[in-house]
Amino acid sequence: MSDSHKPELAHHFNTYQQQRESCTLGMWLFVAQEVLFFGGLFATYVVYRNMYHDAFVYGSSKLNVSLGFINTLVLILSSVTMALAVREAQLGRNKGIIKFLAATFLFGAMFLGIKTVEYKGKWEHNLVPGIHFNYDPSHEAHSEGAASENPAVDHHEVVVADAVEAPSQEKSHAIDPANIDPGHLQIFFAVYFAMTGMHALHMIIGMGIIIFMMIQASRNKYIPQSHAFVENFGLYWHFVDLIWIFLFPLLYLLGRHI
Amino acid sequence: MSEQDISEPQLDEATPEEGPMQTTGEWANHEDGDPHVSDVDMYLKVFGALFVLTIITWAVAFIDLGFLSTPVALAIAVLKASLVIAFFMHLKDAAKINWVVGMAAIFMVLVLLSIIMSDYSTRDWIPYPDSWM
Repeated sequence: MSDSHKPELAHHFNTYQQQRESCTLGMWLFVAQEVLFFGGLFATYVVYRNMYHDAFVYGSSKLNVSLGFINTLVLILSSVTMALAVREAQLGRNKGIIKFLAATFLFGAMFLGIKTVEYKGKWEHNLVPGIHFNYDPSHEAHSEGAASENPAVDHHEVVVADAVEAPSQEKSHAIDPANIDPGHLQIFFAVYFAMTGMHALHMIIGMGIIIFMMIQASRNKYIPQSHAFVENFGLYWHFVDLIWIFLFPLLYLLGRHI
Repeated sequence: MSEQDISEPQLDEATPEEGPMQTTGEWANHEDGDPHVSDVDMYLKVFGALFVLTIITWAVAFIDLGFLSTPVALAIAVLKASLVIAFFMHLKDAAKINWVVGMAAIFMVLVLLSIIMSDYSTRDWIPYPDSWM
């Protein structure tokens, strides 16, 4: 049993500090496991991107970079409000915890809302891998719009493709949509949905835990000596932000300059 | 019960002599029950840096840097990740053992990538023996 004068100190720890640092170490081990889990997905990306470079660059240019950019900023905002929520927890200010967790939840919801708009666009353009995947790049350069989210990109593409016809150029400069295998493009979108989907799932789980913590904070559960739950959740939420920091350039920015 | 009643630190003065663990090595960074609290200012500065770096990585992507595009994008991503890990995840102030755990995970992912790529990138260096076909 815990000491009567230190109700938050578990009996197998000598001090609050030892208890806190043990909790932190345990969470870092979990985060390390998550890094390895996402590492498998990143390895998939690297292998297929090297195999089907042009399809990946072209597929990347089909993503909506503006929404991806806004989402990156929204996620950074949610990370800073989470860090401030942890700070309030360190000071034992439960009202402050609720305030900043609410902001974090709001930004998380905004991120998922924007993500939903993106997924919906991919669904409507038949870019979701599976039996409904229907994309013929050979028509893309000529037909305006139907399968493209951003006509300006298409126009730009045609211009670039014409411009670099004469000088000898290696990969990544002139990617002709007609030469891209729809199957390879489908692999790009499979990787896109797997990675962003797994990321979004982490956020949904995280938002559930945020609600739980807000209820706990409303009961004044967190004190400076015992706020490990908030602190550890902060590590989880920042980790999810880290994954997006790498997903954004790898998926959205790869094909921006074609 | 008011919030103040609970949030008030309730430590007695006996903590320094409490046990052998807290006075040795990494366990002795801070006063017991007194987590390191950073200034709000620090969080806002890191946020500003992340904001600016995001805009830079987005803007640079529209410029064709040839083979440098991906290294530049990844360098900025690593810089942003380092800021988040060091300041938001408090690795800068945490016990060093957490640093070992985090770096071990990154190292293992790099091992995974290098072994996978050394396989895939060298598959056509040597023709398959006829007996395999």
